[in-house]
Amino acid sequence: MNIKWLFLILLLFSLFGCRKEITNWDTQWSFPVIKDQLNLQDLVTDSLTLLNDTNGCKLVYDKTLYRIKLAEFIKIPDTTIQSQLAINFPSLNVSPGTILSQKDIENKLEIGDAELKKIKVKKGAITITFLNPLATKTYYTIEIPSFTKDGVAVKKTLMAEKGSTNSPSVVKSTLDLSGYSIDLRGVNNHTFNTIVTNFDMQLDSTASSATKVTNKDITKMSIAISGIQIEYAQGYFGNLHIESSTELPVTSLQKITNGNFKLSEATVELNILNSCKLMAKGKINSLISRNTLSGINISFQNQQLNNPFYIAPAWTKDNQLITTDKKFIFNSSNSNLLSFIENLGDLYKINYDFELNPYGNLNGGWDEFFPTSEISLHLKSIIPLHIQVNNLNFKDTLDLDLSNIPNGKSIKSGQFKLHCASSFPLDATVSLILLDGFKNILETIEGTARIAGKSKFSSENKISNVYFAPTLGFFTKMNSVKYVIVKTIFNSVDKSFEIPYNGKIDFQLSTDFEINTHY
Amino acid sequence: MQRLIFLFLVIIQLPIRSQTSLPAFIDTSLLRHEIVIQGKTDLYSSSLQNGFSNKLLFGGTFSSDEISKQVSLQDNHNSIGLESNTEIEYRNFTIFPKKNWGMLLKTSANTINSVHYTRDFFGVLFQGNHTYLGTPIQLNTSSVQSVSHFKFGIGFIHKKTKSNFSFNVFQLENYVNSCIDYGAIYVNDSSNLSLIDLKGTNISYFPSSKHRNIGFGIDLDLKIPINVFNDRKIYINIIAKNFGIGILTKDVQYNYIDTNYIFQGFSLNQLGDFFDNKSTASTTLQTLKIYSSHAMRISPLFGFIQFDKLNAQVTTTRYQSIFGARMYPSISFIPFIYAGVQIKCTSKIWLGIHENYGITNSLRTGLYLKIIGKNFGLNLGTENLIDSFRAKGRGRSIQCKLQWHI
Repeated sequence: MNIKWLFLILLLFSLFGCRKEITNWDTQWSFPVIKDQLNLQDLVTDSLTLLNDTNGCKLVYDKTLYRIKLAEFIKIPDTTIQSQLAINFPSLNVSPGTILSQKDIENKLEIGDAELKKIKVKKGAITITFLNPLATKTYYTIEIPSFTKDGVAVKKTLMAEKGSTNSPSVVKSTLDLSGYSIDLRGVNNHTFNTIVTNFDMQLDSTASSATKVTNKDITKMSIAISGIQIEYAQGYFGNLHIESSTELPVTSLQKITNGNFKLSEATVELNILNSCKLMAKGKINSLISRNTLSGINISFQNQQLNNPFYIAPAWTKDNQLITTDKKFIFNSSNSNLLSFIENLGDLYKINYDFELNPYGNLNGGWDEFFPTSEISLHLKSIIPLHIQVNNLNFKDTLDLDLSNIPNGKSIKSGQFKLHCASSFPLDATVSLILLDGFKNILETIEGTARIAGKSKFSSENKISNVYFAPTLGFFTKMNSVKYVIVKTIFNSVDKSFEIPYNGKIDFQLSTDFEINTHY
Repeated sequence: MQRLIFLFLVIIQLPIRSQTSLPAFIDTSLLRHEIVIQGKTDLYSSSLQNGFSNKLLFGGTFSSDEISKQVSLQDNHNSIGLESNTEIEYRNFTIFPKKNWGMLLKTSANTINSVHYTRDFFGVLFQGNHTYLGTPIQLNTSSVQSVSHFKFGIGFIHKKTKSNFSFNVFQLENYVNSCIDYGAIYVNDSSNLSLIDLKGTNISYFPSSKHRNIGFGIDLDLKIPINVFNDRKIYINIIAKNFGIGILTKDVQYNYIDTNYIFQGFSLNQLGDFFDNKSTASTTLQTLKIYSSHAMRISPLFGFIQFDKLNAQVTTTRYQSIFGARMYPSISFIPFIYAGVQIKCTSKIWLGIHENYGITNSLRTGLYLKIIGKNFGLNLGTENLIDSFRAKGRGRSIQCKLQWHI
């Protein structure tokens, strides 16, 4: 027999084993995940600081809302100065080495109604071009006494090959003007916006014979000024009118979705600073707090709003620029400041007018600005943390990608345990909303208890244990989680309280999971 | 977790045996062709009962009661091993008609796993750490060794004595060599504090693509005649098998941990960095002093050396002695020795029974049956007769070998 068949059967047995079922069992795991502390300093970011004095803890918001840089308004536009030179005779034989000159040519710049005397260039360039129609090599020398650097005026000699009347030869040179001073007062220092130039042309002295020149052989020179940025200027800057509005979003307040809080007091300082040596006139037209979620707009009410004010020019003392200012102080007694802040606006709009040199050239053209010169609008608010909070809803969305957690389907059940010790006088109820990549809600996990705050009548920090237990079905889809919304509802423990400067909450998160292992 | 289980099953290397204790006769007949098919599955456990290991291997759900019972049966230090091997070999004695040597080709699939573990290791693996809160989890001297490979060999065989050797190429399917020199993990009752005191190394290779690392090695099978008293000649069979090295160049993970760390949780900044991809798992591991790299490694394969007494097939004696020994140089375990008697039942049927010791740290009883036909031989046997058929036994063994020749 069939030994061959026997072999075949055994061979098949050796190749095909038993089909394995799934092996599985459940395990219980507990371990720490997070341990940290949140204190008041951690919650204060960006432009916010804390001030702790004998009257208690205060939240200080200090920010420059807007800056008017004068250099943005006083500009020398790109322009080209042109001049030309020709003989007055119909025709003339000019000997080799002959020099023809034009001296003290005054070139006027168009700069609106500004009358500038001096400027210092931060950035910019000039391009000098000569067109030579003469039938001999010619040397051109350009001198610009108005442009100096370290006391030396711009002077440049260029050689142009021979050209013709119909086809002049061209020679060019570019010069970086960074750091140059420009005197715009003209030849006799009594005018403004004026550049003085000199130029010579010398026929090739090595030529073997005289060159015939006609009155149609016109040598052309151009100076193209471009990209001038001013670092310093002196003169009359003209009458400038700036009307603008600024929006100031406070994104952290967008996370407050409901509820309210009450302040006991607040102070806001609005300060306008002028570091330009010119007079300014201003007016704040409106200041609005907008809560985009509730749609409520509150206009700031104060009698000083909508009234014009004047700011004196900055001045110099011992070579130091002294800034002038105009300060407004608002509080609950002279304005609706408390309700303005309690609106929890996440967008603030301020509308204002500024006019520079409102009465024209009163100082004989002695306006000045320096690299740091600006007119700026500063806001400083001081809010004592003596508040009352009622169902203040705070929502924050965080990225939480759980797609890489292996064997996510193996978690059968479980919970997180949050252990807290708080010295904040606030109760907090926390819930977690888990979302997929399309922001669909996968699971809402409510904390089993509130995180208790410390009463002002208690000396001990308040201990809380809160459990967060997802539903059983959640674990089969936890790999889809992309975001988590942490929703917290705050309430005052006592009716009115003061948040302590050293307030903190120690917390520790640990897990307790049942995991099904299978393979 | 699957890998951990795999390690547990496959890693332990107590009984890594790819050779059987089935009888071999000295056969000096001249053959033309021969095919040898042999296979074995040997599961050894010092503490784990067969009912439990059956589910690990073939599937099933463990109840918490089952797990609790098995945990209580574990000693402080335990071991489990699994070896499975199937080999087909073709021998051609006519390829070099004028030589004393023929050629052979062989291929086999092998998996060898050995795990040494503590009771706590087993308990944590199957129960989680919840029942160990407030109690240190001892992991000292736990280890896992595992390799699975396909072998392709070509070699030469002596026409008369059937001594042979082959050069082999291994296609490695996985490789693990891990060891915890000392270790303990503690999580307090409130599960908000953990202490980790661990020192150990791990080399593991799990291919992530179709690419496979390879290895090289040799097999040797020598039949050596020895004159004993009264000028009596016996043959000793010396076998060295699966000796070689694995060249691990790709998908190799090397980990080294030497840490004494108190962990109470990550800070919010650490977690934030992690989810913002500013921090990676590797930096987190570095915090725990777990160093990880992808380095090339040349690692030994788990081969063995065995010698057995060979009996003569043609004999007038009804009873013959059998004995032998086996050792594994690359794995520390008690050398395996066996001795017994072979009974010639008929001219074509032999029955053998032997006692063996070493692999299991206890005496086991082996049994085999050999049937010889005109052109074939069939061997069936076990090295663990009693435990193989008991759910409460610890380990199973089955071996078979089929030869066909012309």
